[in-house]
Amino acid sequence: MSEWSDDELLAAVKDLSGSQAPAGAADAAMELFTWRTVDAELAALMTDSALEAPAGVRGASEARTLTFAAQDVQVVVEITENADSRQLLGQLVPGRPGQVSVRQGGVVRTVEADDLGRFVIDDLGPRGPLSLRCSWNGGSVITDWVLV
Amino acid sequence: MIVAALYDDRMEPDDPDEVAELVKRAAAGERDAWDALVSRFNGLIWAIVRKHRLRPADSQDVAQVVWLRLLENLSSLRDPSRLAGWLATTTRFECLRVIRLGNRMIPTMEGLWEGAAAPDPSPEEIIATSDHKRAVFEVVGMLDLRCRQLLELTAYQLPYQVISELLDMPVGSIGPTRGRCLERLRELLRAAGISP
Repeated sequence: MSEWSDDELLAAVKDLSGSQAPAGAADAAMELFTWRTVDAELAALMTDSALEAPAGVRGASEARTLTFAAQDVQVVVEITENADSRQLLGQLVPGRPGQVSVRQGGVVRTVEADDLGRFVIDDLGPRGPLSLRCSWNGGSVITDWVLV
Repeated sequence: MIVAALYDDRMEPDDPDEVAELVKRAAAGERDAWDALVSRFNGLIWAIVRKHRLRPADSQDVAQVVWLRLLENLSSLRDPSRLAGWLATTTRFECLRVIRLGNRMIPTMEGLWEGAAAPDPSPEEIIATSDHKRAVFEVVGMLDLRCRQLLELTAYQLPYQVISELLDMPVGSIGPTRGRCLERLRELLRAAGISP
């Protein structure tokens, strides 16, 4: 009987690893490719209050704050959970009017940002991945996908 | 005693240049390059998700958000050849985020992930494309959890620093433990009479 080399053992472990993902998970991930944005600058996730507070301290109804940063613009977002709905308050920094498209899963909604760059989404969808596309006269950014 | 069979479709160790090339091509819009990246690394993401023992809905959310994050960051990765480390670190952060966010107050979205199984398939549930593979998988399942987790992460050639954080192991002990675990697996396969 021939001996297993280290590489062969690791290849077998890796093979099993791939097989242990749920059925359909790989296919679903491949299908995400159609969601790709090609024409907007990325605003990277910089801070998330959910990761900063000590565990267990955050109250159930406290707002969660996220900030995203691109080269010349930041997007600040505050999410508040109420009894049966969630609200998102957002701000473009520096402020400027524009449109904000909210991508949650496959659903897209568009709201206006006022002259100061503020926008509101009154009824944020169920928990899941979220990304904002913020457009104004002269540019646009998309925020890193994040779980909200 | 199980008769050895040819191991026909093994997964090769990842060549960093190859990974960088796939990232570049996916960034340029080539779907098949994206699919190849998913095939190579989906197991890694789910391995880390399983390690954090998330609920099925949360597991699905984490996997989805990690792939979406990569999708929009394909052009901005600092070192595309080290994608495994980026995916592992991103997945770990998303798992921690989910744990911090705590219980869901709002029902979750259905969608792409309907029907995905709970994160811990038993050996019988795992799809093996040959009897030989199934036999090998069963033996790997006999390794203790610590060895299985360590070998799984080293199989993706993750930097030892990342493995150290994921498994809460000192960096210096990873190499020697990996060697011991490989030898244990080798012995188990030998005892089961399974050749490569």
